[in-house]
Formats: sequence, structure tokens, C-alpha cells
Amino acid sequence: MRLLNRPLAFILAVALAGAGIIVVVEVIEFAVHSGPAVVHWTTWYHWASTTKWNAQVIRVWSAVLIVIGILILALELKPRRVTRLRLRSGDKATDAALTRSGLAGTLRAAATGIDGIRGAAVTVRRRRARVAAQSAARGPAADALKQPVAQALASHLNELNLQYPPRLKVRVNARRR
Amino acid sequence: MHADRTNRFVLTLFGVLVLLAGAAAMTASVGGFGTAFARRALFDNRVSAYIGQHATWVWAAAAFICLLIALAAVRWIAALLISTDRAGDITVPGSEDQGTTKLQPGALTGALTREVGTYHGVDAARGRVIGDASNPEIVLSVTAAQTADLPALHHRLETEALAHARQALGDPDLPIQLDLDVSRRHP
Repeated sequence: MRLLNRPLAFILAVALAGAGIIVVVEVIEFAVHSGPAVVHWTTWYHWASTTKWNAQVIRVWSAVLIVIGILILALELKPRRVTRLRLRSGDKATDAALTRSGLAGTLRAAATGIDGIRGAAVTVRRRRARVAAQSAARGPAADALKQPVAQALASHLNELNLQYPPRLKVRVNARRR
Repeated sequence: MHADRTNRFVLTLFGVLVLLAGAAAMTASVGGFGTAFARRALFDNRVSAYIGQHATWVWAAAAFICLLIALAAVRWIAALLISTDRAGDITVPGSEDQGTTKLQPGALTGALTREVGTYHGVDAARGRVIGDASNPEIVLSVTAAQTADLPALHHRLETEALAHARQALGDPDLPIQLDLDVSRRHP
């Protein structure tokens, strides 16, 4: 988001600076009874004096402005992706957190450390962490692993001391042939 | 000035203004302000008439406001291109009778990351000092090994490394942001 905002902000800042300077120059030029200096605004003035509100061109440009406004607002007001999950800290001046990828990594490591689990895919969102563990066994043996894996991961998550721990959802997939 | 908050605020304001302008123009165009208004020319309204009658001071005021906007925009461009959130040299509090002690942020973060790097379970550590030099904040990013005991590491970081940094700057309430990550590398 920040990376997209910076070029957008730069374009807007340059446009505002340019437009502001042009208006100042044109007002001064007009005050000293000289013609348009940078922008031939008299053409625009004539166009706006003769074009009616119900003209097709006004509707097209209005729609363009509405779409641009909605796009910018959607981009700016979209909730930021969670990158840090706060840890409980003993010191008020310390803002400690586990990164989202860090939580995924430690849950993955905890899952693969359990006997019978050979791999795990972890997705961490704002309020939920999903773990899809891959069992080394097939059939009922894999189903039997679900509870111990879920318990071990819940305990691991609890030990991390997160301020707002995400809800844990664990799935154990049986090994395919 | 680090410009990320300014960027978001001004872009949001711009989005609102553009949306309102588009919605108002569309409403006028489809007859929302009356069919008679929709058949009028763009400049055939009270505001345009007022501007026409008081052109001298209205355009002078408009030029002044545009000058302020242009100056603010130039400052914004400068902040976008050359600003940094990194702090300058930090003055270490103490007696000023025998001079002042300045600490380079790099020296502080270097000592901090070297200390953290020796902790069991730490793969990598990076640090930077942000904010104003008179009111700095440390941002410490620590990447732990997959096998690391994260609660124990977190506790050790808080009670040792961060406490040492605060002690070095003589500020027990020095704000510190600690980001713990876990390495993708398998042990």
C-alpha cells in the first residue's frame, strides 16, 4: 500500500504544485491586461459558457470523476493487511510483536515437529490461523493425529503470549497413494 | 517528516473531493437540481455571476490560496523525495560541565544487533533508530531460527538487550519496537 501511495502522492503533489503556479501566473497576467500566459484558458471559458449541464460530455466526465474518486477511496480506506501480531510485554515502552510470517513459520515448525506429520501449510490472517498438516500415515491413522496436532499447536500458540491470539483451525490430511 | 501519513490523508481528501465533484456534476446533468438547471450553461449560475461581479478580489484571493497550495505541494514533494524517518546523532544525557556526548545511531544499533546475534536461536538481527534525535525510538527486527524457543527469546530480548539499550541512552522509558520473525530456512 505504501509503495503504491508514494507514486500516487508524487503525481498529485506535482499536479497541485503545477496547477497552483499556473493559476497564480494567469491571474497576474490577467491583472496586467496581458493575454493567457501558459494555458489558453479563454477557450475553456468559452466552452464552459456555451456547454450545458445536460450535455453528454458532462455526463462522461462526471462518471470518470466518480470512478476515480471511488478507486482512490477504496485504495486508501481498505484495511491494512496485518503484518504484526502484538506480544504481551512486561514493559509499557516496548511494542513487541511477532510478524505474521513469523507466526506461520513457528506454527509450521511446531506441526512438523510432531511424530507422524511430514509437512504443514500455514495461513495466518488477522483473526484466524489455518494449519493444513500433511500426515505420513493413511486413513484412520491420519484421523487419529488430528486431536494431538490441534492440542500441540494450541498449546504452542498459547505459549507465544500473543495479546490477541488468532483462532486456530487445524486440518490433518491423510497421505495420498 | 516521513510522508506516509500525509500521503494517505491527502489522497483520501482528494478522493472525497473528486467523488463529490463527479456526483454533483452528474446530479446536475441528469436534472437532480431541476430540469431548468440542467438546460443551463455551466457558468450560468449564481456563483459564476458573483465571481464575475467581484473578479478583482476573488481572483486575487484564489491566486493567494493557489500559491499556498503550490508551496505546500512543493514541501510535500521534498518530503517524498528526500525525507527519512531515521534519527540523527543522539545526545547522551549527563553532566554538561565537561562537554556533551553524542552517540551515532549506527553505533547503538550495531552494539544492540551484535549482542542479540549472540543469543541462542537468533538467525539475524537488524536495528535502526527513528524519530527525532531528542526523542528517538529503536526499531529492532530479530529473525529467530525455526527451532528457537520464541517465548524464552522474547523474554531475554526484553530483559537484557532492550534494557541495555535503554541504559546506554539513560532513558528507562525509551520506546522500542521489537519485531520477531522466524527464519524460512530449515535447520
